[in-house]
Amino acid sequence: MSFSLVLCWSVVRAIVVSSVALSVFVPLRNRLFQSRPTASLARWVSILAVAPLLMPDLLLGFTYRLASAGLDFSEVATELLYACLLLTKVLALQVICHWLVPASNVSKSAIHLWKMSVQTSFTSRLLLLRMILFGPNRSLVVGWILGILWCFQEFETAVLLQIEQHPIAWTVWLFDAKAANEPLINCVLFAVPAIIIQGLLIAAGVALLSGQKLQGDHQTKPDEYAPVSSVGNRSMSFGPHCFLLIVIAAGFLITVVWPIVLHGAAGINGLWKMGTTAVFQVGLDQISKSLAVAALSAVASWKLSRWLFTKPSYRPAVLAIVPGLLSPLVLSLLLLSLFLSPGFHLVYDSWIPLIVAQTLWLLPRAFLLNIVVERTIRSEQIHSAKLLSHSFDQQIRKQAKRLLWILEHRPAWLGVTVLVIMAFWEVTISSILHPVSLQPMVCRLYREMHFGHTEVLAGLTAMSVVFPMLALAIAAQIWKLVRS
Amino acid sequence: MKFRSLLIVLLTAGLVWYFTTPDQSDSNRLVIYCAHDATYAQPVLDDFTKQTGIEIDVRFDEESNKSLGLTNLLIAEKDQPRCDVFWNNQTLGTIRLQSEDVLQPYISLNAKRIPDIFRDDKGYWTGFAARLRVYIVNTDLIDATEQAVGEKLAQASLEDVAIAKPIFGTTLSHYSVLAAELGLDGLKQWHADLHQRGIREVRGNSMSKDLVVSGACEVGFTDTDDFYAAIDQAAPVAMVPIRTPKGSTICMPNSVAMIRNCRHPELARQFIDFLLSAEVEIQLANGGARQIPLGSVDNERLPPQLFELQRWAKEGAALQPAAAQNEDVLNWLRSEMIGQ
Repeated sequence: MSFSLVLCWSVVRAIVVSSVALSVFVPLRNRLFQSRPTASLARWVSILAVAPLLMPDLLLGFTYRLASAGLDFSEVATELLYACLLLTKVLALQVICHWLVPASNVSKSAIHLWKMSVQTSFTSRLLLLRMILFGPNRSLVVGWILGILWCFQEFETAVLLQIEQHPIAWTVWLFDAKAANEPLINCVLFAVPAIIIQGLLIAAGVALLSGQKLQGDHQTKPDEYAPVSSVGNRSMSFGPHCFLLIVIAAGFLITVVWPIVLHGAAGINGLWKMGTTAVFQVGLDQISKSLAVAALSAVASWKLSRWLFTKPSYRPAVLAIVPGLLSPLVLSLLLLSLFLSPGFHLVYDSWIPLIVAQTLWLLPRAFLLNIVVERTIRSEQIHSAKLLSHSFDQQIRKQAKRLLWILEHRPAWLGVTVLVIMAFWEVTISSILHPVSLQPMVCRLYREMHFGHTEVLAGLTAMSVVFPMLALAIAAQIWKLVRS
Repeated sequence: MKFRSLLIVLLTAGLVWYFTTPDQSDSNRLVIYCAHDATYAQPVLDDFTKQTGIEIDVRFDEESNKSLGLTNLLIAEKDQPRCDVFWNNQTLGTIRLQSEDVLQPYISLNAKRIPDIFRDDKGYWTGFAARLRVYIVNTDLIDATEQAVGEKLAQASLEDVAIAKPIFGTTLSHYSVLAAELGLDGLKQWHADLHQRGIREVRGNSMSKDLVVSGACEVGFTDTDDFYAAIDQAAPVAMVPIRTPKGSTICMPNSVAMIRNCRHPELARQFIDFLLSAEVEIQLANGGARQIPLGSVDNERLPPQLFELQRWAKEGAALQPAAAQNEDVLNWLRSEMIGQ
């Protein structure tokens, strides 16, 4: 199958999956998230919807590897299974965008009035379209774009599920081409259309998220103007409500519950058995070092993207994010060639190539996250909280510092945390560029998955999920303490 | 600002810690690139350290970096190698390294145990502990005889037969052995015939094995190590050796080679001597992969099921002609894939 066909397939699947997620999320948002009487239900639904995003692609692929094999050789079924797994993650992205993307000052009422003004010229229709996109539907469109990007870039689940070239993914095709000794330069050239597609999507996302920051953003959530929620509350029937909840619950079951059911007991057994052995200590060492490298890369990409964000020209940002769109494989091989050259060979067998590669790979993601966080931060409230933090009353000072953490530092911490998790679970870069003295944990897990040594593997996986989360939670507390 | 300073101090301290860890600077550490499965290779490496006190840094080959592979990495690093010894789980890639001038000869005293067919006469590489290409058969679905498998493979539909993608690993070696016997055109015809009849192409031998174990396929092309993984899971499977048109089996020994201009030549020689010992072959034969000893060993210390494998291994096709075909086979597969 030619690369152009594979690329088209990947694009179409990404668009279809993200559009399906959108069509599931819109009624969910209208019926659930905007209705005050169901606020606590909405919180629980949000948790269920977002949880799949925390499940590493690698584990998901491993869990469903045999299911894919057992689909009785139906290529459509394999594609559907992959699409379903992607759908759960894209739905989670929509929920996150709903939380984070700030409101526009173009309300539904404004759009309604514009439609009533009976202007049929092309320019006014274009303006109407712009109002719809940048207006109350902005978070949906941003979520849709992020969903396409997510599906388009996915590699680990696809490669583990693949049978008879299905699911077809450009990332897997490129991997196989390199394995078949395709020259690196050709691989880079193959990746160019993929870079352009991703670049256009990121540009669209940035355009939607940029623009004048609004006065009282937070208070004017567009939906409060919308008649939909109240009407929705009154007319909310059990049927559709129930269907949407089933969709979310099914996603949670598929991506979180089932892998835990399948490997959980073996994981606990494995941890118990490993507890006193060298395997546990070596595993812990590998996890802590991998986590440290991931954290360094995440902080570096975060800082770099913040710096790029402040630049008046867009060119440095474009130049900086292009390597991260090349696919981890091409990026790693390019950097491998660079660090094998005489000028850089001194640091070849160190962690530097890995940190550089992970930083570059994270940069486009950090850039988008930074924009989201930047648009979420409300400077007026932060300013008020800072003023309060100088109060003579100790209680008020304490409350103000807590507010400052919530308003200013927590979004940044969440952004960095997402990047750390991404870097920690990225396989390709780690496997190609790690120094010989230590193997990153994710490479070891990938290797163990090949043999299916379930108890040790499940134990190590449990460690790899739990330990970084604990470490990141402790880091957050320390940061909070330092900031207070 | 205080926090920012603290963060910078912590990050710098972290970096310093990484780049000054003893592993990085210790000159008495042997560096090994190992393509053999880590689960089976690590105990051997640990034994070497226990016996000699020589610490080892090892880089394993993984599924995740198949796109690069240790062979290609060694070629890329040729001018300034960081690896001392390459323990390959096959032979063809090692022969390629010899032609790329990456290896340096060393004839270990223990190499004399190994039959000539499995080692280079100049000492660039030596084979040991082999695997065989086999058909794994689900015994609930089909008889585990050469005749039954032959009949199965002669049927019009091969939709319940699985084979791994030939661009990787031992399936590529299998293709190269066939190319040496049939010629590249003969191989192309054989490959096209299998695919026209709907054979299931999966990503690796372990997946081929899994399909047979689950009953989704009746027969799969795989290696003895994957077959024994299925046996250890108590799966209803048996194996039949894969034979070339000329009747040879496909025996793929591990191979060990010393890297030209490596940093620890003396330690490398010690390790090669150790790896080619009868003791290590027995250890690998008793491991999960049940690798077949090629040299003379005390048969009483071998699992009984290996005796038949030893007999099949002796019927193995010569590997040098296959190595000569390897590059052409890969080029053809690449052009097939890319559609050029």
